[in-house]
Amino acid sequence: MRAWLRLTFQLQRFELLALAAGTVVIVALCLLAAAQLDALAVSHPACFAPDAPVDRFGAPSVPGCAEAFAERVGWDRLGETLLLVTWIAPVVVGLVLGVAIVARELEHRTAALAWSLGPSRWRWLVGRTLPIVLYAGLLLVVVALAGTVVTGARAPEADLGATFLWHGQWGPLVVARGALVLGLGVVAGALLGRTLPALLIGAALTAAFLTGTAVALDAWRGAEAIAVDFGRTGLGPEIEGGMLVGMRIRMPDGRLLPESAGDGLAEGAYTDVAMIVPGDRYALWVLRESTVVIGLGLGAFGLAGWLVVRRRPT
Amino acid sequence: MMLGGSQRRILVGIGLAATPPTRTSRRPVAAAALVALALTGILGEHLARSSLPGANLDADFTWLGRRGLLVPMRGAFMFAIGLAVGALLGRTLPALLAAAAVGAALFSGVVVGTEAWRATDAVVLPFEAVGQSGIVIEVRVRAPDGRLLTFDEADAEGWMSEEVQADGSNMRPGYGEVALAVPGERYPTWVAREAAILAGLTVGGAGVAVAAVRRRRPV
Repeated sequence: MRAWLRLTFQLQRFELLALAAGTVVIVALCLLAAAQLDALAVSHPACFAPDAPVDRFGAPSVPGCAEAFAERVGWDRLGETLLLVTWIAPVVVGLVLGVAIVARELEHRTAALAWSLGPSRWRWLVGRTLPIVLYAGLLLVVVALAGTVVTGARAPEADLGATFLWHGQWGPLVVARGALVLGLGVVAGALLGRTLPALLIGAALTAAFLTGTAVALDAWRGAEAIAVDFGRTGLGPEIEGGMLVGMRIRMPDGRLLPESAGDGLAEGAYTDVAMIVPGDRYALWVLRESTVVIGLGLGAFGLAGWLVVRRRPT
Repeated sequence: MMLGGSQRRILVGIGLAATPPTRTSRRPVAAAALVALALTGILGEHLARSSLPGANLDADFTWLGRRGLLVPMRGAFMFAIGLAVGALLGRTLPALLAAAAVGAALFSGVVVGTEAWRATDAVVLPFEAVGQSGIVIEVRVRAPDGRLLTFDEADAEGWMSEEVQADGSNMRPGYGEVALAVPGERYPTWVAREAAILAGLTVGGAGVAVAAVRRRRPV
C-alpha cells in the first residue's frame, strides 16, 4: 500500500497538491464567511432576530441596522458563491484525479511496461485508483464540512438534519457525487487514453449523468410528496425545511390535478396545494441519493476495469 | 451546462502549447476558435438587441461583457493565458489547472480593478433617473441641505417617518434617495477601456508563451 501511495504521489503530484491548495482556500473562505455571519448575528441581535420588522426589500427596518444589513448581504453573497464552489468541487476533484489515472499512463506509454510485468491489470487498476479514491474522499469530506458550516451560518434558524435547503451543496452528497465523477473520469481516461480529450468527454459524461440522476430522483421524490394547502397567506410553517416539487389543485372530492386543470373553473371550486417532501425525510433522501450515485460510480469503475483489461496498451 | 467562451479558449490554448506536436497543423484550429469566439460576441449582441428591442444598447451597461467586443477580447485573453501556462509547464492537465487558476485570478483582478476605476466616474443622479441603462455604484440619502448620507447616518437624523407622506413614501420632506451611478452613455468608453486592458494582457501572455517556447528544452 505504501508503494502504491508513493507511486500515486509521484505520478499526480501537481494535481494532488493543486487540489489540496484549492481545498485549503475554500475551507478558509468558508470559515471566514461563517465567522463573519455569526459575529454579525451576535453583535446586532435586534437586526437579525427572526421577528425583526423588515421593509419591502426584506431589510430590517430597525434604526441603525442598515450598515449591518449591508455587511451581512456581502458575506451572505460570498457564502452563496462558496456553496456553488462546494457543489462543483466533486466534479473538479473527480475529473482531474480520475481522468489521469489511466489516460496519463497510456499517453506516456508507461502502461505497456506495467501491464506486461504485472500479473493482473485489475490489480494494477485497483492499485492506481485506491489511493486516489482515499485522497479525493478526504478532500471532499473537508469541503462538505466547510459547506455545512457556511449553510449553518447563512440559515441559523434551519435544522440541518431535517432541511432540503441548498440541497446537494453541503453534507454527504458532496462526497457521494465525487465517487460518481471519479468513476466516470477513469472510464473516459481508459476509453480515450489521452488526458485532455478524456477530460472533455469526462465532463460531458458527468453533465449527462448528474442531470439524469437529478431528473430521476426528482421524479422519485415527487411520488412521495405530500399535498399542503397553499392558502391566501402562502405556505405555512409546516413546510419549513421541505422541498417543493410542484403545484397541484385539490378538487372537492380530494383528487389532485395539475394546475392547468383549474383553468376556467370558478374561484373556490378547488384548492391550490403545494407538493412538498417534508424536511424530516431529508436524511432518508440523502441516504438514497448517496446510494444511487455511489452505485453508479462503482459501476463506472467496473466498466473502466473492463476497458483496461481489453484495450491495447498504447 | 455549456462551456463559456473563456473556458473554450483555455482548452484550445493549452492544447496548442502543452500537447506533443503532430503532423497536423494546429494553426487552422486556433484560427477557427478565434473566429468562433468573434461570432459568439456578434451573436450575443444580436440576441441582446432582439431581447431588448426598445433599448439603446450602444449606451447601456445591460449584459456588460456578455455581448459585443468584450466577448472575443476576454476569450483572447484566456487563450493567451492558456498558451503561456501550457508553454511554461509542458504538461496538459497541470497546465489546465494552473491556467484556470491564473486566468481566474487575473480576470477577477481586471473586473475588480475596472469596477473600482468605473466608480470614480459615477455621478449623483435621482434614483429614478438611472433607469435600466446605467450602473448603480451606491445608493445614498440626500439631506435637505444637500449632504449625501449613508443610511445609518440618515437613520440617526430620523429621515423616515411613521406616516405616509404626500408622495406616497415614508421619507420626511426634503429627504430623497439618490444613486451614485455611471450613466449608460459611458458604456462605449468603458468597453474600450476594458478591451484595451485585456488586449495588453493578451499580448503579455503571448509574449510569455513565445519566450517560453524559445527558451525551453523540447522535452
